[in-house]
Amino acid sequence: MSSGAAIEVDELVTHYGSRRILDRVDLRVEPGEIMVIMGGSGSGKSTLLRHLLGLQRPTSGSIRLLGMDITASSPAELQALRRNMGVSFQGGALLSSMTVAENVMLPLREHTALDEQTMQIVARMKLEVVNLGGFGELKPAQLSGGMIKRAALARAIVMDPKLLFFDEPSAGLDPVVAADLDELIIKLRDTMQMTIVVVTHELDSAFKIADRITVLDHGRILLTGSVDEVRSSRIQRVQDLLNRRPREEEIDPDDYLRRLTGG
Amino acid sequence: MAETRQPALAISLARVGRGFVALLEEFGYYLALVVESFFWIVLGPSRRQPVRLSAAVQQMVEIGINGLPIVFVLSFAIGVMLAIQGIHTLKQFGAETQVVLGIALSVTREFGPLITGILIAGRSGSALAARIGTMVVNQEIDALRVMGINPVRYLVSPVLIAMLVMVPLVTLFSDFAALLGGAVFCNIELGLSYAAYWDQSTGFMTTDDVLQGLAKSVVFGVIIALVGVTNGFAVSGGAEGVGKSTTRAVVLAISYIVLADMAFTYFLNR
Amino acid sequence: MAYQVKTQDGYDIVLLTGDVDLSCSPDARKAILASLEQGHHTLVDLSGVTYIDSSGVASLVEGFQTAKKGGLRFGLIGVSEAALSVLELARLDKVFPIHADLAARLEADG
Repeated sequence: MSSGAAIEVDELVTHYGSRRILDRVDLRVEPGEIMVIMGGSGSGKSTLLRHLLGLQRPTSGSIRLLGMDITASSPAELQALRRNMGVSFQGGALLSSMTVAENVMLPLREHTALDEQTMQIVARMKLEVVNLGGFGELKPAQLSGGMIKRAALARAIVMDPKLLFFDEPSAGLDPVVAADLDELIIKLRDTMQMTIVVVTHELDSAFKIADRITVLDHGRILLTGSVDEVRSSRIQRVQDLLNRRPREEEIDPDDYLRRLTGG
Repeated sequence: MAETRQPALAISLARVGRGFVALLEEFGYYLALVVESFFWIVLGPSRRQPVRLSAAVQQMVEIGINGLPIVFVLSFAIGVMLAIQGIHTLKQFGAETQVVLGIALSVTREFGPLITGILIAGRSGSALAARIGTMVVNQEIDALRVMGINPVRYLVSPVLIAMLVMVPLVTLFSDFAALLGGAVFCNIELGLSYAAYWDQSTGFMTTDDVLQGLAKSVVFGVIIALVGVTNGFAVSGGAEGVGKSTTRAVVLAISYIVLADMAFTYFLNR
Repeated sequence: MAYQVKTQDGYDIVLLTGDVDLSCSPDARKAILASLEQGHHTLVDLSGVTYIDSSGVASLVEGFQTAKKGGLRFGLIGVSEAALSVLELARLDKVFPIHADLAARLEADG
């Protein structure tokens, strides 16, 4: 790791068809840092996450995770890197055909030669960490939304990853459950020294857990800074987001008319 | 928008062209998928990413064992139908007893594999598309990928193994069920004993006839697996997308099976 | 990771050193279980451990459970700050008998 950063994104540009989704995004996350990527819907934050996870290839630019450029790496290198990454998806993405415990155990089963007994203990330990002890034998469909997110987190951390990605941890949860999850994220960083990237549009959660925040809008980074820096930012669009003001866009009459008439 | 000013012929030609390209693309995808599935089956173990046998067995039970009752009923009915038609036709020549030959050859070479292929396409091809499609919608496929678990190895290879094993076996079962149906009807209508029916059938049939049917069934199995899986992976747009892809998987699989059957029959009987 | 086993004051002491991670926790597990299978009271000395992952902790858990079944004494000594925080995450610091060193353990045994 030459630069020492856990994650380093350089001049990332991506397109969906001919539409530009991300425009020259730069991002740097230090080891052991909790970085929150914030933005409204359509800001490109989900797209940025998919690129960080190596699920999509960018048009141009580079993405280095733990020193390795995933835009130029071989499948075998990426495979090795993925053992050091944990991801908790927005909807949990637990395999519905398996029990919760089997889900949590899956990465161990696929990537290690550990004894069955050891794998089971590790899986149960992780379920304890996320306060789901004793729920391992249930199927995902039997869990509530908050429980699914915690089970997904247990699966994400089962390999003791160095990088943890969390997509919308508090979306759709009641405030108490969401606060629990926030605590858990901070605890994981403190005890496991994980580098954590959280994508969210929830301001309260973001301000609570973030070391630094990156605000994304229309595929561009408006600002990256500490919680205080973001709060006191003079950028109009950032303040709009913080105060939940709807976007006021300048209207080009000709263009608008053309859009309406389809001409 | 600009297209509307073009002559109708150009538009329809363009459409045909695009359709053709899409079709080629789809077949290319099928080919790549087969190659990758076999890659994992053969080389997975040495890369410490083996295809799980338990997953394949589970699929075999789902594809084969659970479908046996319906395969039996329909194959038996086909056997009876062939007997009825055969006797009716051959009566005009006073050659009713020749019906046994007709049934034996039609069943082993044609109807056994075809009815099995269509039934498994309907039962398992749709289930496969729905299962994988739902996984796409729920980001389960993404989850597998970020966990470093190749979805083709984890999901497709076991299905392919299961199809390659079970479709021929179920076809054999279907052959027997259809022959039994024919035997029962001939026994009632012509007073032909079961022993005589069996002797005549096996006397007429060669191993080639049975093997020809089984060879077809192997191809049908691959078609069902590929079409089901591909349509599953191609799902977009939530639950509605899953429904559409499932329907498409069944219709396409059955169409490809019938077309492949025709080509097969043509080349094998020259 | 390396480990060595010595016998002292009625205990087998399994001394683990270095990183206890996925690649070597099975060895640590075997060493711990081997001592217990011989019917020896066992302590695991973590003072030389620079890092321990979940599979390593799981081996300790399995050792403790095996000891309990066999009516044997088990415990951890020399638990470093880093190792302790990993145990705390799963609240296992409240489960294992943890002492500073062998002397402290012997004193607690009475």
